[in-house]
Amino acid sequence: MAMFKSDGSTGKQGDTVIGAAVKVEGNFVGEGNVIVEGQLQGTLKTKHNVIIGSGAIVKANVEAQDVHLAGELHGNVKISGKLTLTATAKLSGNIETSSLTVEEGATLNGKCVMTAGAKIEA
Amino acid sequence: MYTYIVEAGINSKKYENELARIESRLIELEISGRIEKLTILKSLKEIINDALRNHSETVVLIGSDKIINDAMSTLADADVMIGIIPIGEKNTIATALGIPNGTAACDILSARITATLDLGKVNNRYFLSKLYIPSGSNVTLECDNKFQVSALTPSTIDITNFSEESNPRDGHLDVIVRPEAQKRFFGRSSYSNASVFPFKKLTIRSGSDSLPIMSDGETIIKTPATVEIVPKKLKIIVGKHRKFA
Repeated sequence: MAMFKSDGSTGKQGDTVIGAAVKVEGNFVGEGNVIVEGQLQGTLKTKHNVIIGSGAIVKANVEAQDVHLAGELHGNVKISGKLTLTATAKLSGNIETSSLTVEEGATLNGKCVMTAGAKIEA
Repeated sequence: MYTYIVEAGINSKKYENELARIESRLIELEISGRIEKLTILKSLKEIINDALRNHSETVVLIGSDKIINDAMSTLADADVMIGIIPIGEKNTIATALGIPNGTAACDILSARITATLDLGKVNNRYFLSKLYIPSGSNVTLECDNKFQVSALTPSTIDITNFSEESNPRDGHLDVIVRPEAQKRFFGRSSYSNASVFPFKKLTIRSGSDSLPIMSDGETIIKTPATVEIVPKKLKIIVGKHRKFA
């Protein structure tokens, strides 16, 4: 998964980057990885991966392969791969995933449904 | 049959020798043709339309990015192969296409490796590489009629089809929003936290202010505007060392 370069741009074609200085509203459907460092409101869908940075605020239902959450997410999450909540993550919503990793310090308020082949790590 | 069109700025003493060497090399490679030089009295559109009327199969643009951008709107709708011989400054398009400067470009023409590229269209005007909107506030971007992007701080906006960030054969354009950070010394701005959104159709609005949309340093249109991708529109001769698959 592509991460930010030191100059703030991305290096991988097809990825979407929602930077800290923009706000996105509506039904976002991405064709590649999605990196959120700013604000997103609505829905977020991609067949690829989502990274939600520590300063990001997402008020949306999210569907993706893997999700790495370090910021705030208010909404339901449906994931075909794995969900990782880092120590700074705040998630308010229901989760459907096959793999869940929660770091100490993360906040999780919602129901969690583990799908076939589920794996929990803490 | 080949038609060669020389950019007005290149048609000067400074480039006389280089143009002569190119003409000789074209004869050696047996791909010489009609050479037209742009002047105040001969517009690019007229020359291209003449070439098409005379059944030119290949139109070759000799010069910088400027002649390529200027020619796009006329060439986009024509069923013709396009070649480039870069001369002068600012040849970023040719470089990305893997075409070296000067006489070496004649060998690329002769080898005739071709590619079909996407074009961008802003309102009714085509572009190959990129558009640029200088710093403005209250800019909103509506992408693919699905979601809206608002810049929270004054930002510059690039719309790219063909650059380091974008592949001209992937069926979409990219819009890059770069917030303008604090001014550095000597008045230069720094940029951080860029946002990137791939799209097929984009509507740009800027509130009550009308912002310029620029290409190659010239304002070509003002906001509000609609930008869209036109896939596989342009047939062009490329080099082996092009920067896209």
